[in-house]
Amino acid sequence: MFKAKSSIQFLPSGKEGGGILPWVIAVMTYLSALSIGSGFALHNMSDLWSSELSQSMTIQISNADDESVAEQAASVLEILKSMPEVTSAELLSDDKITSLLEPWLGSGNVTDDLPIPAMITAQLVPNRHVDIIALEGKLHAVAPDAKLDGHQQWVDQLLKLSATIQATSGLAVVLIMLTTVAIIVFATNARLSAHKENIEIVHLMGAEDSAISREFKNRFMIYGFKGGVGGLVAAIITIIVFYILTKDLGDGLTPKLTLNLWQILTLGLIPFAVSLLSMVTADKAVRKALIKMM
Amino acid sequence: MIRFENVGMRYGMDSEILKDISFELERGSFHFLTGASGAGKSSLLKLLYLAHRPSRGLTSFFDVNTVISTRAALPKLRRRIGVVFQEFRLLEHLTAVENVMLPMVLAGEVKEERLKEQSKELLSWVGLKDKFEARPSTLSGGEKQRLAIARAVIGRPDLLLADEPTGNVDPEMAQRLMHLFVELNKIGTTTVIATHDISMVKHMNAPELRLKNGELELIPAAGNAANPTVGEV
Ligand SMILES: Nc1ncnc2c1ncn2[C@@H]1O[C@H](COP(=O)(O)OP(=O)(O)OP(=O)(O)O)[C@@H](O)[C@H]1O
Ligand SMILES: [Mg+2]
Repeated sequence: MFKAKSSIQFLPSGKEGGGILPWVIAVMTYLSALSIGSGFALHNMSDLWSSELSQSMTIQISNADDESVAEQAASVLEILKSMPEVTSAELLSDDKITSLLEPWLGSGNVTDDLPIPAMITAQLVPNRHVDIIALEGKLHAVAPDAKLDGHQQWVDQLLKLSATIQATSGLAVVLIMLTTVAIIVFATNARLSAHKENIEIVHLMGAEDSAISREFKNRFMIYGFKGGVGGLVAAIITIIVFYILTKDLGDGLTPKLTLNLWQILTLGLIPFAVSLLSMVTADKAVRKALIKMM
Repeated sequence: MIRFENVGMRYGMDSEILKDISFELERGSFHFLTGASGAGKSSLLKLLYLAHRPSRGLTSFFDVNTVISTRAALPKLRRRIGVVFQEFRLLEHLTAVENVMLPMVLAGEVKEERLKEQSKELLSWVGLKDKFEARPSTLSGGEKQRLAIARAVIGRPDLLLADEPTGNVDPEMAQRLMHLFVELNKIGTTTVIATHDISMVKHMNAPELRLKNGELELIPAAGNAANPTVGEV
């Protein structure tokens, strides 16, 4: 493949079947890089969500009778604090709850008449599973009005959604690859038929299939690399623009889209993978055509 | 060196245009291949330059049975065969010199400067001294023919096949080209020349492979000794 190139090439250097190929490959690379990049970002986001959310739980106690609420809250706190999985538990003050509600209800609108439940938040030891059902039973025994929110359901649903989206983008990448292969096969065949005569002549002069295919392999490898780099650069620009645009959006709602070093390296490998794909596909298509000659 | 036994040939599903062809080409032999237009001369040559598989029979090239050999064994055999095609089949994007150099480059020749000198020498010899850098499309029919001949002989092939190699040149140039073939034959190149030119066949006093109705007949050299230069082993 890297044999010194003779000054005499059996095919003219024209672009038959190849002129727009780098552009098509660039678009395909752009789409798959975005799919892969957003898949990675979503993966990281899910990790963040599941670790942040599953490290805490909330208990709500609501009853018209304030005294009963206070009593129940005290019992709940006692139980929580006795648990080894719980690092800390605290009862949110009315002021804190009011300030949490203000963004939704507007300042000054949280009146004393508004039935505000007692809120207890508990921080959990990271990565340690808490049996929510058993805990719920235990809490109900002392505080019948307690409602436990382990965030588990919320996290589970988010994770399910994110896994579905990741699978979909994986599928999209596979489809894009298959389409790219088909386009390269078309382009190779176009070049083959544009130069059928020359190929037949050198075949009859005793050129090996590998020598004939080498011309195509080198050319399509370059097409693939050009397109791959172009598409990746465009995708990176898109990701950066997206990052800048979303950076200042509500902090709690849209966790930061970040990529780690390995993921960035993986994206960097895309042009090489694309040019390899392009080269191998062209080689296969050429050999398939040559095998029809004696 | 080349052996055909009961060889048949057909294009696609058509009926056989060559039937039961049997002959042997000894190393260093010289034959004319004759027959009316459409008799199958070019078709037989296609079998001889390994462009087409026979529909039946046995073919053997340089002691390799090509009916049972793998496809991968053929390029090496082809590199020992030089062909002057009836339609020349030159590469349009290359200059005359590059066309002549091509077979050797494909065969792996790396000393391109020397090869270029040899190619120019050969082109001068066939009267194309002024056309080294010309593209085939700018050449006349006869010039193309001489270029095609130069390309076929540059590698001193073991087997030289020429399809009507003197059809487009004047008698004087025809003589000169035939002389080139004879000289190559003298140094051991087995030669088969397809032609219509009966007077040339008579003049050269070489054995004749005559195609008629799809069958091949071998007519030995007349032996009038006027020109005993060819066909000697
Ligand atoms: N590629 C092909 N497909 C189908 N039939 C073909 C093909 N090439 C040649 N033929 C047929 O085979 C027969 C022999 O053709 P061929 O070219 O071998 O004759 P030839 O003796 O070389 O004639 P000429 O002297 O005119 O060159 C002809 O009837 C021709 O129509
Ligand atoms: Mg013919």
